[in-house]
Amino acid sequence: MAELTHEDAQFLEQARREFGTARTAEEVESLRVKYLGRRQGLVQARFDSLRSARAEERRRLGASANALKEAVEQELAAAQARVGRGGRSSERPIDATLPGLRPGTGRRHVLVRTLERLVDVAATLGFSVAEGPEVETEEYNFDALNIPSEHPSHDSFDTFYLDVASLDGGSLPEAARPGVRRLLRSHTSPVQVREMRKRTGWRRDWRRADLKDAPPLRVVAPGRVYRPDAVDARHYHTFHQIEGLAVDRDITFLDLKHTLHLFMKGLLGEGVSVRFRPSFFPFTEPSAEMDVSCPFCGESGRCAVCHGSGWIELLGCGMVHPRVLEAGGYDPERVVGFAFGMGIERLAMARHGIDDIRLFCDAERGNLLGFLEQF
Amino acid sequence: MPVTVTTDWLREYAPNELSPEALAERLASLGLAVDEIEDLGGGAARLTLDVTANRGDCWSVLGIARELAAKLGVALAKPELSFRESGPPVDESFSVAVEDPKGCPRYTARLVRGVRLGPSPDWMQRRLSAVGIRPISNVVDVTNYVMCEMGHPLHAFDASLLRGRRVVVRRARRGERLALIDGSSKELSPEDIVIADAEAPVALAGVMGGSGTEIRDSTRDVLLESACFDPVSIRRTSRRHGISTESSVRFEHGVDPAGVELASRRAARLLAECAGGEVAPGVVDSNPSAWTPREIRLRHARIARLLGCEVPREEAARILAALGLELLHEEADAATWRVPSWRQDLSVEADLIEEIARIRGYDNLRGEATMRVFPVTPNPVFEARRRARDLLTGLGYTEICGVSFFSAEKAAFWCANGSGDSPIASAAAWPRGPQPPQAYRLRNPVRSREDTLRTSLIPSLLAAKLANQNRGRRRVRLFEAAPVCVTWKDEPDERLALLDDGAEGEDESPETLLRRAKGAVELLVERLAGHREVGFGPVEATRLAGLVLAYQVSAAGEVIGMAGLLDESAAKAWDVLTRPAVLELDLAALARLGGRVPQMRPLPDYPAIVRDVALVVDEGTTWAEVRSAAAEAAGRWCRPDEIGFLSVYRGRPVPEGRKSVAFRVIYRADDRTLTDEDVRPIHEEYVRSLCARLHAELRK
Repeated sequence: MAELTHEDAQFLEQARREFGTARTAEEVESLRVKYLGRRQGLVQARFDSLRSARAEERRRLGASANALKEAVEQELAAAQARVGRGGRSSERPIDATLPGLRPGTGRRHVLVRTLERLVDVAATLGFSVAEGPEVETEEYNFDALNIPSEHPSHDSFDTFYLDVASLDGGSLPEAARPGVRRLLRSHTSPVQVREMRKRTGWRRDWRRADLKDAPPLRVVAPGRVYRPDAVDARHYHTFHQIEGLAVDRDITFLDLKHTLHLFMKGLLGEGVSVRFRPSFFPFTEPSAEMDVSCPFCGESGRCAVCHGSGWIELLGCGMVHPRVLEAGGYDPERVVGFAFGMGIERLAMARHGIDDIRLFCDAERGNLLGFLEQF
Repeated sequence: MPVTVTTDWLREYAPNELSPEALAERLASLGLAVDEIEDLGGGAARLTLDVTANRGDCWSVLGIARELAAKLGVALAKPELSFRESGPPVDESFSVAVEDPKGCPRYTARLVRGVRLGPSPDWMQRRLSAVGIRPISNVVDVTNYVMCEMGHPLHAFDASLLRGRRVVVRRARRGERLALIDGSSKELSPEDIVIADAEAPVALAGVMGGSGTEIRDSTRDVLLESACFDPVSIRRTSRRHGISTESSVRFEHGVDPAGVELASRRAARLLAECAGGEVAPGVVDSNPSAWTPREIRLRHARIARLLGCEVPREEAARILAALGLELLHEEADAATWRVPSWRQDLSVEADLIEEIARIRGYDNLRGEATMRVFPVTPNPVFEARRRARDLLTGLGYTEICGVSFFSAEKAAFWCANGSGDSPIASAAAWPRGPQPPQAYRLRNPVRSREDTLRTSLIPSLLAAKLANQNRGRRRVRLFEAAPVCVTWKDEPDERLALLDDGAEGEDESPETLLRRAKGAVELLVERLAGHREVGFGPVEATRLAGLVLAYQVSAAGEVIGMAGLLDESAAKAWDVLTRPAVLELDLAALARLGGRVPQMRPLPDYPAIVRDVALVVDEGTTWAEVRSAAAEAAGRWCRPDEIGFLSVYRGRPVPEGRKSVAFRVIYRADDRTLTDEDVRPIHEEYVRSLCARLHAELRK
């Protein structure tokens, strides 16, 4: 900065004092007018006085006046920053603590969120998505899955059976009635058989020799299933499952354990452990229940999810029963498969701390925005 | 930097009868991509090749010919190297001192006396010109010719101008300058390697010679330099001085230290032949760090292990031998090979296997792949649902998982309910279904009245709306994407439905609600299927229970759904307090439409002139009518496809039974910026003609 003349230095001293003591935006504004006003301002007056200076002096005085102006402007800016603007412009102070403006974005249903996540993790392991119909036949829901109808194992699958009815009260022609008994699937396992048949090209008239050893298969089948359960906070007649199936020439029980562990790691984090306990399902042999180490426990005492056991029962699994492979058109002598199935509600409830299954789908208690908007 | 060779030159070393195109294809299969083939006449062509950075040996006709000969299974011809020597030996005339053996691992000098300067022979000039090198004189051309042929840059000094009969290879000293043959003068850096005589630098090693010692008409004795320099030093010097030459790029890629002397002999022979020189006996050869050949053991089983298919042992051996590798000894299951000096890139077993695979041809490696790959097959409906969710949640709709069971009465809602013999299938082509409408009924329902399976998602949306209304949420914006079970086919019907009350606290007109639902469909169709036009065609309202206004939704010529506004009786039946817009689409049909990839339209080069027009028309005149009239009346510079709706206004001063429709018209020229004066008369005429067509007045 150029050197100030003695006079200018004194002038600046005074300006500094005055700007320094200003307390309000109005005071600062009036000082701005006093010093830096375009016509009557004191700084401008210094420039005006240059005209009468001697030519050889003018250069020095001009440099000093410029430096003075710059210094006063800095004082002004400092004072404005201190008291806040306000008087001079229409700019108001900003309250950055006000909540952010969010265009009304909707949400996915929390069950769908969970389901899509399961499908995404499965995709990283090479499993494609397959879906089957909710209205099924006894063949797919039971027989092909090695669940004979007059067998105790049948009883654990309470099932909704269906008729066809006219919606306007009239009677239906006989032709409208389906030839085979229809039901609402009680699990997603029928998709196993449907997918196997789709790949092998299975036909009803196949003999043993027609059974295939290819192509290999890896699918997950998410979807809605129904059971006529009494409704309470833990049970609902409509819920969702995801089914997994792998068929290939050289699959083993160890592959099942390894794949499910990877699946759980993808879902719940690298640190998760799994354990397998013997169990019974008509469509797998050997069968197992898989528990995962509870990722929800944290430090606090008794965990609401695992009740302090440290483990959560999460899914049923096993090596596909030879009769099921055969029903799907595969030769059980030449291929092996594993399958698993789990409830999506159960996982969503554990993950998000949801304590009532009816909040998901029920006509009265479900689908409330206050609930849906939390996820 | 690409390498150029000519087909006839290649043929001299790798005999073949291939056309230039066939030759290019063989070279490409070897990893030497041919960027350009230019016909030179007489069956010959110039090939421009892209040589990968590891293959310095392919910066020469001979290197490329070696690859080709291995590929074609022919013998590689050898360049003619013999000549007669006479006079006093070179080391009596010159001494060479390499002060920097790291920068210059090998340096040779040969003396050719009594050359007669003149043009080089025609064949040499033709070949040099064909690869882009200007012929200068027989001596200079010979050095360039050998460089192109063998990949070794050479330099020829006028021997009489080298002071002290001495050649020193050293780093430049601070402050030394050198005038180069391109006329420039460079201040040298202590990092530059130079060739100096007893007094001062005479060449920037490996990059360019100095003008003080260059070959001139008076030159009689030539000192021929053939050497090998450190690639990194050459690269730095080339960068530092901004000089990149045929010589420097070859050194940067690494030249064969063992071939240095052969190149010198080849040049000596050609100098004798083309410039009449007499070659002095012997060569001064500074080879302080003589190169030790590398030996690599190749286990035969590793070939199949890495490639996945067997290569017969004899073929593998033939390929390696053709590339110049020398078989040292063989064991039962392995062989040890010596790598030739020009292939410093070969260092491990896998390198040899790559050579075998490369020469054999990647396309000729056949067999069964053993790695299990499980490509996830896309599921179009699942994906469509997912993308619809992304879009609709972004638009402010919240997803529900609706209940499936209803009373028969409520399930009947949104079912085509015409009588059995009505032509409903053609009038309302969707939802398709038998008459009278039917649904699955539970034989063992949990609650006896709720025994009917939904055939539409709309009842679920209304149930969810009611549940929310009971909790004080009057206006909701909901959607569901799910299959419904219909009795008349085995597969589920994939649906996407939404219900729109508008935002809480805002009273929106039925028209706005419907437009919003339409906007959602338009976006769905655009994002999921890439189509732009969506139609809302009228259906006779009586055909759909519960809707006061019903529209058939179509896109790309296919009916994909229904939309409408809830009527009073339906609202009453469901106890809902508002009359939302509802919409249901056939998601599978939407997924089937998919796949049109949006194509770019070029952005305009010149700005547009924008005119907003408001026309007062009869209430019965639709926007579609206004738009098509506006498009038809479009005059010069007016863009009919860019006519944009702005608003509709009813009320004073627009008379009862009329409305004002405002829209935007764009004028734009492709070749200049339009002015108001250009557009004014056209626009005035346009508005006049539109008013006449639509029986409208311009709203002032």
